[in-house]
Amino acid sequence: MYEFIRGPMAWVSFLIFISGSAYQIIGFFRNTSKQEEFAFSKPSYVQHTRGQPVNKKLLSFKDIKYSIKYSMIGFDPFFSVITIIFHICILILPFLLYEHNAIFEILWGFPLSPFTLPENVSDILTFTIIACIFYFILRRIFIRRVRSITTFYDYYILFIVAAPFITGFLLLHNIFSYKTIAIFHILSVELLFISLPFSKLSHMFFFILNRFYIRNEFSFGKGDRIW
Amino acid sequence: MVKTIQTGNNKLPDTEKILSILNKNKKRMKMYLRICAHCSLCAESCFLYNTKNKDPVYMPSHKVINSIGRLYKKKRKIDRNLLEEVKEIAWKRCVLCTRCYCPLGVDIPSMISLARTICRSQNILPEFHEQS
Ligand code: SF4
Ligand code: SF4
Repeated sequence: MYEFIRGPMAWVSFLIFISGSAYQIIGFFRNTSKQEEFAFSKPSYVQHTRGQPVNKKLLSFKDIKYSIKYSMIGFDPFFSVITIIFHICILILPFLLYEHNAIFEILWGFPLSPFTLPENVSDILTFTIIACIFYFILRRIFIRRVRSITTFYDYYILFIVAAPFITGFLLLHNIFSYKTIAIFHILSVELLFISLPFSKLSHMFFFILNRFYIRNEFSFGKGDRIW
Repeated sequence: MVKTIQTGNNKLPDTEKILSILNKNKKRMKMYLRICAHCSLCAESCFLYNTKNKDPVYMPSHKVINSIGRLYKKKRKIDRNLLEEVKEIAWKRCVLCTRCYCPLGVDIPSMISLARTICRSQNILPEFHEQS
């Protein structure tokens, strides 16, 4: 059982993740097309012509103030900071964790990243992630506007994101039976990999595609494609 | 004029026509509906939400989930009542000012506008003389 979920099943979930993501990303480019000219004028801080900022000097303090005021940081600063911290933590922790790097060095002969985090720092990051998820759950329950659009699926998504970090923490600190927790940890990561390209979590890459490629007033990049 | 529209409204919805509009826009709309994290960050970017006592039904994501989201869910089962509800959302709760801001890039105005297109294709339109 342990060998199966560690071996073939890990590969299958990884392949589903890679091919599912490729399917979504290729689909995005096939269904959108490039547009040369902008049909409307954008604020100077996002003005681009063929990918080049028109006038860099125009990026004044006022523009920056405007862009922050009308972004999520302006609308909800507290939640924005929490969500930014949360996303940074979940993206870096798995790659910089000492134990992951050690395992990959044994398996493949090279580590995932050139440097790793000290144990207490990775513990702090894990706690931050779990605390953020706890805050997301409380928000879903107690804030009226969030509750109005919350479904069971939203809690399920929070669960599949939280599971690898909770089991990972138990594993590192040898709480409960090591082998059982290891099975749950690997299974939870595989579940995360399999569901990533096809669930709400696909905002991981659609966030980049939408905000950098699609023509939009608040585009971060060229924003030269339309559906 | 108003009479003609009302007569048109009594007919059953033309499901095939609705489905063809839904299918034409399926990839994009499904992607938006799927990636919406239900985070509610878009709420305060909508002036209607702010001016209507922060009533959640005016939150952009609430509007798209309950209009275009429900149309994609029901597909063949779309009935007149649903289209009437969608009409209320698409015209009375949104003015298509395109000021809503979603950090994930969900294009809310395009979704509301498609909801309007579908209602319009069934001759379901707001009657501007009515008292609200
Ligand atoms: S539309 Fe965007 S900002 Fe609004 S709830 Fe969905 S993901 Fe969040
Ligand atoms: S387009 Fe509609 S949802 Fe968006 S800000 Fe304007 S009124 Fe609100």
